[in-house]
Formats: sequence, structure tokens, C-alpha cells
Amino acid sequence: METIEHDIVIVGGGAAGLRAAIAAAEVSPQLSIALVSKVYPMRSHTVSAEGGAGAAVGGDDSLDLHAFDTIRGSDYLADQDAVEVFVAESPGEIVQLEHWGCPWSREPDGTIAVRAFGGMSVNRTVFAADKTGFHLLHTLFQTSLKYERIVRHDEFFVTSLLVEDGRCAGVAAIDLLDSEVRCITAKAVILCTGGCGRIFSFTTNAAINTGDGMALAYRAGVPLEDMEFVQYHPTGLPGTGILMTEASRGEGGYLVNNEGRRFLEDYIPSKMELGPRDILSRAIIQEIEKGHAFQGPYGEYVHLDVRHLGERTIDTKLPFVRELVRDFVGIDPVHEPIPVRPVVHYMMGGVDTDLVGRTRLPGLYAAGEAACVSINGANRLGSNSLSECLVFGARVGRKAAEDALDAQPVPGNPVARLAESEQERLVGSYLEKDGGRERIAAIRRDLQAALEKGAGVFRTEESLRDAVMAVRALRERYRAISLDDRGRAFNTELVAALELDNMLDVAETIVTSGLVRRESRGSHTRRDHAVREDDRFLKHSLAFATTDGPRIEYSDVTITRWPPAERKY
Amino acid sequence: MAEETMTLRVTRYRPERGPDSYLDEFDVPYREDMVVLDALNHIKDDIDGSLTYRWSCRMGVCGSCGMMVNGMPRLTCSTYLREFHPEPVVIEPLESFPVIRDLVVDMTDFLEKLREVKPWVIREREDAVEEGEYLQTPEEVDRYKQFSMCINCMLCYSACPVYAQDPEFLGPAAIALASRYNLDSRDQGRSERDEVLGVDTGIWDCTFVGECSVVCPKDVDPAAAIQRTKVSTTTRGMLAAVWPHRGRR
Amino acid sequence: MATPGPAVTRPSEHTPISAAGRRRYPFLVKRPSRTWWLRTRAYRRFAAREATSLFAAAFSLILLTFLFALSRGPQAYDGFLRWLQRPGTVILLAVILVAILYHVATWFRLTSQILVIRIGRLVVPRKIVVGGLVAVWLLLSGLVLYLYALFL
Repeated sequence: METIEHDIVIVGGGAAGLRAAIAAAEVSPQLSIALVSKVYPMRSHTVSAEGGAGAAVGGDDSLDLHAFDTIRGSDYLADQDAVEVFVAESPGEIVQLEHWGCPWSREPDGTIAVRAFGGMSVNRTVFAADKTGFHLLHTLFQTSLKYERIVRHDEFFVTSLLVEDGRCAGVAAIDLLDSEVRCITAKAVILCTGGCGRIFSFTTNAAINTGDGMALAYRAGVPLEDMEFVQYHPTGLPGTGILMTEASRGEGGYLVNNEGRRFLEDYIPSKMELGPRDILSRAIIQEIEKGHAFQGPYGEYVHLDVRHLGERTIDTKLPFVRELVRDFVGIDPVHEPIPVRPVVHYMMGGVDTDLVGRTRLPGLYAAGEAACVSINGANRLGSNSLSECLVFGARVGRKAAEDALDAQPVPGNPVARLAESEQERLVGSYLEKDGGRERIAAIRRDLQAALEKGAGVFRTEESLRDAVMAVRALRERYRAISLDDRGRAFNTELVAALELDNMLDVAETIVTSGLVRRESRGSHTRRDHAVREDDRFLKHSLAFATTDGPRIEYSDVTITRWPPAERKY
Repeated sequence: MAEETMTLRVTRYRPERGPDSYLDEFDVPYREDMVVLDALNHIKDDIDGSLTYRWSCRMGVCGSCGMMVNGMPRLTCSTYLREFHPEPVVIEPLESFPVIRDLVVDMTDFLEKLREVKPWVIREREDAVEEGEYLQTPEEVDRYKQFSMCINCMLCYSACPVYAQDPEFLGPAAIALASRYNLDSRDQGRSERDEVLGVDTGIWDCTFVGECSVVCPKDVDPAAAIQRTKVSTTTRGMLAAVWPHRGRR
Repeated sequence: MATPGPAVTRPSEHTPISAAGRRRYPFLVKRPSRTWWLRTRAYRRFAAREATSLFAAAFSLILLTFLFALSRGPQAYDGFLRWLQRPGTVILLAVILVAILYHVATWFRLTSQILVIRIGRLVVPRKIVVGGLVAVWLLLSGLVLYLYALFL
């Protein structure tokens, strides 16, 4: 088996991973930094982010205001020390990206422009038209090419963390080219693998968002925090789930029901279309339940109407929306309203980390959507996630670099043996497995349906209990999977099987955490427990892996300057 | 009414099975709103799990799913079956790249070329973050914006007969990317990039077939980037000859 | 494809880790075809555009012959004029004219792709650029005709 030595291994090449790699490279030229990703970095899901990145850069803005909006948006579940760090460092990160060439949209005087976004009380979303994630990702990727100490392992799929003597000492990863496990050792391993929206059937997320890093950490004994909080974005295209950016409302678009009425006046009249995502998603579902929605082949929907903005504004501020609607719906939003419905978009939860991205396992770090710091609490505000990737990506990169410079060398032989047994597992359980007749896609579809049904916008004890049982049954079926593809060259079916394994673990933490949180907070809305209960549940849930599924514990929320209050808009 | 179907003829290559590619035929259920990628996913999920291809965002922005569809390089997530229905549609790996397996091609050369053009902001002096942003007016953004829209899908390389004949050619996307930085008011690295662009395997290899711009799904227009670079390097070269202190930046 | 025994790689700058593996990998490589320029309509159009430049070259040769004949005296010049009036030559010139007109059309189309004229934040549409180029061309041709008439 080939062993590859590095000082730092970053798993995932999206915004957080690339930002971490560059930050680590800038700490010391001595460090060898590996960027390991199952796709080429520019394919990472950051590329699909549209609306923008939140940062208090406008003249009428302040750090405290950004912090308060974020905390109120989180339904007071965010850790306030983390939020304070986040708002303080976001503006610098925006400028840093600007210096690296990010084509931010500008004011006529040449300064960086900001736009309105949901749940933010002033304009504070920095943007590059409505392809912000795309430009951010490509800017980071292209800038990373400048650093010679950042070595990429593209199309390597990490199958397990190598934990030796209580430390994470590297990863086992298969090179897709030959399906052989490589032992990649490091003094610090950073998980930047993004979210897991693919465990739901209707999602904005790309095919790659299967919660790999979350599952890796979880199996290594690190708890997943606040997994029950799943963000539904109010406006996705029915059928494909393609995201219609919140910027379309930030720029002035309306949400309209089948009576032609801006129905949000019944739900959140003070904010209307600029309300936070959880509230808007619930409102749309309630409109559907009242029969105020349109019927379509892919379920009921409401209208997102941007026609009154005019062709010029749409083309300069929302060109991607126009392109997507034309290509994937076949209508022109300049002339027709866009059909939309709430769609799974983002995981507030993730690998439990501290403010510099360290997990409870020495040597293991996490950042971005894969992590839970937590600044998002029970509901993330739109445009905070790109900034989170930048701020905490940079922080974790720097911290891991400092730690790696001080760390002892990795004990090579025991770690290599771990990787060797991983190779045996993959061959025995997948590539040369006998028997079994379950198809991966069938289990995946059933899992997605179970989550959609049980852990949707509105949840109940019963729906969540059913989902828990369904996921357990699917775990049983998974034991009987059989691959069509036994080849070693670029075996994407093997990868899909390993991804499904990860999805099952992560799904189980979501439904189990949701089941025991018997209150409604942010995105987690229980019909049977409709109010927020701070006495019992102003707490982070922590899902630990056990042989019988997740064990849920709770930890305190850090409150600094904003005492929990009713969430009013 | 019986369910409508459609036939996909897919080129397969499995190194374990021998050194040649072969053709496989699949019938998939047809709906009017299906894209080619949906059909491939149907095959992989329900018919043959060994069919191999790349995809991810299925919204035309990650750049993974480029393939030859009826002989033209296309993003399969944005190419509708209805364009070809009821005739069979032929799916092949992107032209001009070494094939790893089935519809997956090797991108090593492409990525190396991207890096060669130094696609990052080069400045004599980098301001500290505390000094704030470099000012750039919307008009200045407009000058390079189009060339910053490339999603690295490599369709342009597949459409380029020059790259097919001469793999050393830097190629459309890489030159467009170089232009993106050269035209950026924040950048001062033009002369460094000229060393890669102004050579035989750079802009001068291009014969302006123009197909790169035709197949580009994001209207980047790499052909224009290349020809404009030809004009600007020549003009600056001549300026430098008659007026040695100008023409260089 | 596994490396036998424990092998430790310390990656140096920009060496992809699997470089060795990639070199060994049995890629399928298609040889470029000699008739690629016939494969698609666009390639054929390109080939036609390039081929028509040969006709432009042919016309330059005829012009050179004309100058050469002129320099050799009235007899040679008369011979050249007689050659010009032969039906074969007329047909050849007609073909050259058509080919050059096609070449010119492609030239204008391509130039409009390269030339960006910005007025504020607006970019002048390609059609207008082509129109402008054609107008300038007609104007210059008119000027030549005018000078011809003036001096004849």
C-alpha cells in the first residue's frame, strides 16, 4: 500500500476547504498541505451558491447589528461567541477575496456593493451578480494554484479517518482511478465536505452532497451537533429543486399565491419577502394546505414574481435566475412568474467544533457546512454560509497549521496498517462481495422519501418515529447490497455505495435528534410541540454514534450579550 | 397508452475488458422534460450500475457533465432529450481527451494548462486587507466579466480541431482565463502571462475556427479572447519596438 | 495497479500524487483523424473559409503578372490583356470574385466577434458592427470608383 505523507490533509475542495488550504499555506512555507476531494475542486457545491455573502461592510451597518440579526435568525440557538467572531471577521474576508480577484458587483464609485437579504435588517449581502458561489469558488481555486505547497489529490474518496492512539493521524482514501486505498498521513485533518442535502428527495443540493465528512467524524466518535435543523429554502423549482436565489426577493421579487395575492402579509407583514427562510417556507406550506397554491406535475407551488423589476435589473442583478428558468422551466421570468416551492437547502448542524474548528478528537478539525460552530443555530440567515466558509475556513487553516508545526510525527506503521484493513474491508464488503441483491439506487430513493416524509418543514412525533424506523430498516437492507460494477477503474458505483453508507448514518442522526427535540425552534417545527421551550431545549443536541444508533446528549448554548427573547419580526 | 421510450447509444470503455471501446444500447422511459443526464441516471440506477460518467450540480454550473451528444460537445444536464426524440441519441466521451472509462475523460492536461496561465491576481505590491478593497467601477468589471464566467467544462477543447491535432496547444479556456486576469484593472501580471500566451503553442496556434465559442454553454467566447490577445500582444510588441518605454506594463 | 510493499511518497511541488499511476493507466486515446475538417458543418465552413484565401492569393498573382507585363513593354501588356479576355480567364476571375466575396463576408463576421465597441456600459451589438464594417467597405470601394472615374 502506498503511504503519502503530509502535514495537513484537507478533505473537500469547496470554499471552506480551499480557504483553509490557502490560510495554512500562508502560515508557513514548511508545511505540506494536501487537498483531497472526491471531485475536482471547481465542481464543489459552493459553485451553486447564488445570492451572496453576508458581511457588515455598508455604511449603515454595524457588527452588533449583523450579530443580532444572525442570533435572532437562529432562534437564539447560535453560540454568541462564535457569532461575534464571525461578524467581526467577515468584512476582512470579503476584502481578502476582493484582493484575490473575486468579481464582486460594484457601486458606481468602485466600492463593493451590498444587497438586501432575508432576515437582515440592512443591506449587507455582498454579491457577484447571482453567481456569487461560482465566482468565489473559482477565485479561491485559481488563487490556490499559486501555492506550491498545496498538493491536490483530485478524485480521491476518503473512506475513513485513521485514528491511532487517540489522535487523528490521517485518512484512508481510494484513488478513483484504480480503486486502491491510499494511506494519507497528516498531523491535522480538516473536514470541509459540505452538507448532506442528498438524503432528501427534493433538494437544491448537488449529487455530491452526501454528508461524507459528517459521517467520517461521527464514526470516529465525534458528535454531530444540532442535526435536526434542516433548512428549507422557500424558493426552489418544482421537479429539479434548482434554487431560485433569495436575491430575487432581495432585489424586490414577490411571492404570490393562486389568488394573485402577496400572502406573506398574513404571516410576516413587517418583513414580507425578506423574512427568514424558515418562516417563509412554513408560510408557503400553509398556503398549500389552505388550497391557495397552483397544481403542477411536481407538486403544488406558489409564484415568485420578478416581472415588475424589469428586464434590465433582472439581467444585471439576476442573470442566472433568468438563465436557469429559461433552461429548466422553459419560461422567461421577465414575462412570466416563476413556480417555486420549499426545498431542502442547508444543514445547520454538523461536526461539533470550537471557534477555531477543532473537534473533540485531537488532530481532527472541521469547517463550513460540514461543521457546526455554531453560528446558525436553528435557522441560518441567507448569505451567512459563504461568509462562514471563508471566516472559519481561514481560522481552521491557520490553527491546524500552527498545531501541525508543533505536533509529533505521525506513527507511520500502525497508521498504514489501519489503511490496509480499510482496503480489505472495501474489497470484502463491496468489490468482491458475494450474495445480496439490493440496488443502491433503490435504498437511496427510499431513504430520501423517508426523510422527506418524516423530517419535512412540519414534523410530528409520529412522522419522526416512522422515519427513525424506516432508516433502521434501510440500514438492514444496506447489508444486502450488491454492486453491478466490480471493476477497479473509476468505479463510481463503489463510491455511490460508500456515500449511501454515509447518508444512512447522517440521516439517522437527523431523525433521532428531531424526535427527541420536543419543541419548535427555527427550522425544526413540531406540530405536536408548537412552541419554543427554552427551559428544556435552549441547548445544542449532540448525536454520538453507538452500536444501536445515535445517543443524543445536550450541551449549553453560549450566550454573551443577547439574552434569549421571543423571536419577533 | 404504452410508456414512451427512447434509445441511448452509449460508448463504453472498460480497461479490464480490453483496449477498445464498444457501443451499448439502452432503452429509457421518455418524458418531455428529461435531459440526457436524467436518462444516464436512469440507466445507472435501474439498468446497469456500471455505466460511468461524472455529474454533480445538474444546473449547468459545476461543469462536470460534458459529453459528446450526437457528435457535439454538450452539458448533458442542460441538453433535453426532446431535441432528438424519437430518434436514438448517441453519447460519447468528450472528444480529444484520453478516456479513463466509459464517459469519463482525463482532465490532468487541462488543469495543468489552467495553472500555466497564472490565473491569479499578480501585483507589484499587495495591499493589506486593512487598507480595504481595490476600487473597481462597474465599467471596469464589465471589461473582464465575460471571461470570468468559464465553468471549466472543457467543451471548447472538445470542439477545437487545433487541440485535437496538437495537444500542446494551450487551448480556448486557458487563454480566456488569462484574458480574464489581463483585463482586470487590479492585475499587473500581463507580461508574465505573455510568456505563456505569446508562443507557438499559445495564441498563435489558434486558426480561429470559432467552434469553442459556439459550443460554450456560458457565452464566454474564448475565440474572441484569443483573437483580441493576438491583436493586443502584436500592438504592444510594435509599440515597444518604436517606443521602448511604452507598451510594457 | 497496487504498489507492492510499503512505498512512501513525499510529494514534491506540483507532482500529482498519482502521476506514476496515471502514466501506467491504460487510457483510451483516439488518434486525430485526417479528415476532421469534413466532420461537422462548422468545420466544413471553416475549411471553406481558409480555402477561399487561396483564391485571394491567386488574384494577387494575377495582379503581379499584370505589373510584370506592364514593366516589360506594350507587347507583353497586350498579351496579358488578351489572356484576360479569354473565356477561361473570365470564368476563373468570376470564381475568384465569388470566393473572395465569401472570404470577405467571413472576415466581417469574424471581425465583429473580435471588435468590442463600448458606449458606457453598453456593448454595440455585433450586427451593427458588421453593418458599420460593410458601410466602410462600400465607402472605400466608392472612393476607388470615384478616383477611377476622375482620372480616366
